[in-house]
Amino acid sequence: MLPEELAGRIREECGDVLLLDPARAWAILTDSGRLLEVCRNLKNIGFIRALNMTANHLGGRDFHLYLTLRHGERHDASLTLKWKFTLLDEAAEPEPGEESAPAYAGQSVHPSLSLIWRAVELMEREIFEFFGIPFAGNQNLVGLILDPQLQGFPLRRDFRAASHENYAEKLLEERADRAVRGVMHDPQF
Amino acid sequence: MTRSSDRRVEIRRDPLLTEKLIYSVGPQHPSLPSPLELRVQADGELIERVTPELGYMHRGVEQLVTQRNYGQAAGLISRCEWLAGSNADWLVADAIERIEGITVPARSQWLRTLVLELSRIGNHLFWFGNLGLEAGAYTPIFIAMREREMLLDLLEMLSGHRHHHGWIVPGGVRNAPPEDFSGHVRAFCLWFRGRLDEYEDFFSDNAIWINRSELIGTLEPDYAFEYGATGPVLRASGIAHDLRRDQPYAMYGELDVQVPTGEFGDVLDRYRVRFLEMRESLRIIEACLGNIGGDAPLRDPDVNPDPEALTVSRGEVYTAVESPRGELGLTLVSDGTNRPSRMHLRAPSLYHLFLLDELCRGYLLADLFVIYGSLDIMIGEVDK
Repeated sequence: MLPEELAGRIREECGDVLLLDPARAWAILTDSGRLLEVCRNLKNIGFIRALNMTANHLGGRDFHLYLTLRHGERHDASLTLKWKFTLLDEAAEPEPGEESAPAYAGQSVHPSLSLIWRAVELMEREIFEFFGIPFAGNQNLVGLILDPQLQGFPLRRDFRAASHENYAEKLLEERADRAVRGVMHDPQF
Repeated sequence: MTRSSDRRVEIRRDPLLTEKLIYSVGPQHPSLPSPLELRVQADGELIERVTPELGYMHRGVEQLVTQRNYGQAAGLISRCEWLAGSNADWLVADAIERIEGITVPARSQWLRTLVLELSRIGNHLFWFGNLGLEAGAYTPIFIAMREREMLLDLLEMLSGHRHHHGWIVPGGVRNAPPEDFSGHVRAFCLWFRGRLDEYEDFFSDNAIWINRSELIGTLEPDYAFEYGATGPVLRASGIAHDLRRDQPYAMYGELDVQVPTGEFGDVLDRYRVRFLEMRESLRIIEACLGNIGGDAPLRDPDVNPDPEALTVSRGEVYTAVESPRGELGLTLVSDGTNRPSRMHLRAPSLYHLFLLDELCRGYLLADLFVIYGSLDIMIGEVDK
């Protein structure tokens, strides 16, 4: 739900790039290049809580991303923002003064929203792990759940068994090897 | 009793530069009800850092649901939240109803509200039993399971299942309650209210328990907000946010839902908030009982009852429920077929789990599991 007065403020602040549907508490960002600006505006309006962020692979290099926010004082007000992101081949050039993300050379990067909402850090880690979208500026962009040896991104449409071919066998071999070597635990803190 | 200051110890830099100890707790550990590894860095007995290591229970649910029909998808999502699985059933049903514009009959909405509250009590009872174990008390788990069994009997009477009920379906509920259901629920409420008083007598005011929980694992409201805390964890920090009251769904809008809050955000406040919630759930359940009888329809006749034949129009929606652990959310993207194109579960436990580092820092190792227990983490919804 999005109360009318808040919808009015959102239209004032970001009306030219948002298709707003207050009845569904839904907004579509038409110009993804202005994502950070729109997010900062939404936070200034009072959407200080990031509740959820996820992605959907459309096929090829295209993704939809969804971010659900809730107002800090008006607990009855929430908004889901949707935008499109295309993963490019070349690494995006970082803006002067911004942190680069050399680890993802060969892919483009999505700007991290974790500097605006701290909770987004975990959500971006999840998206990175399952969709392979790198977020520039996320200080802790490592997987959360999957085995680090798994190749590929399981929630992409093109994820096939080939990308983890013989995965189970390799895993068993690795475990057997570790058992032979007497490795019980590898404390990589 | 008034609480004046945090018992967190300021971590000092060790002038002798002694080696820190890193403990690996789990994934199989008596204090962890679900598989999870906690890497704990400690200086002597003081916790400096806690890092959760996840993935021991990952089943690929979000990938699997895209290959199954909506009925099967609801069952899989429910298996992420097995203690109160009806919340997941409700989420899937509500997402479909929002996309399709389905109006659920009022009688079904009352029944759904009743089941969600029964599930909340069932979950909190499990939490109470486990928390007792974390604190070294064996009695709570036995008495909590006694009451929980009675409650599961009620849910079985209603749905035929004790855990994954699958009873809340798109358009309504699967079947009418048996004739004597209301009487059994009333009897349970009467019995359980007396047992709650008993718990309070022997546990809530117990000096040992208060000493273990008071001003331990304090969470500031700003920090809770910033890091995505919801549900009892957020409310214990003093923020009165509850979806049942603030964004009412089912029949909560008809009920004056009271939202208990804490003051200090410590283990004791999280404990007290959940106890007050169980009392509030009893009140809601009794209010629902007067509206579930009669012959009014239970399901929108336009919704296809065959899950395989149920197709959902192209659309996207985010919906959320105030689960016993906090805001359980679902993002559904439908492409017009009988299978979801994308389904994502927002798990409150994920955010609460990563609060552990902040909550435990500066406390003693012995406090780790009391703090962990107070958060009521469900690894199934985190690992998915």
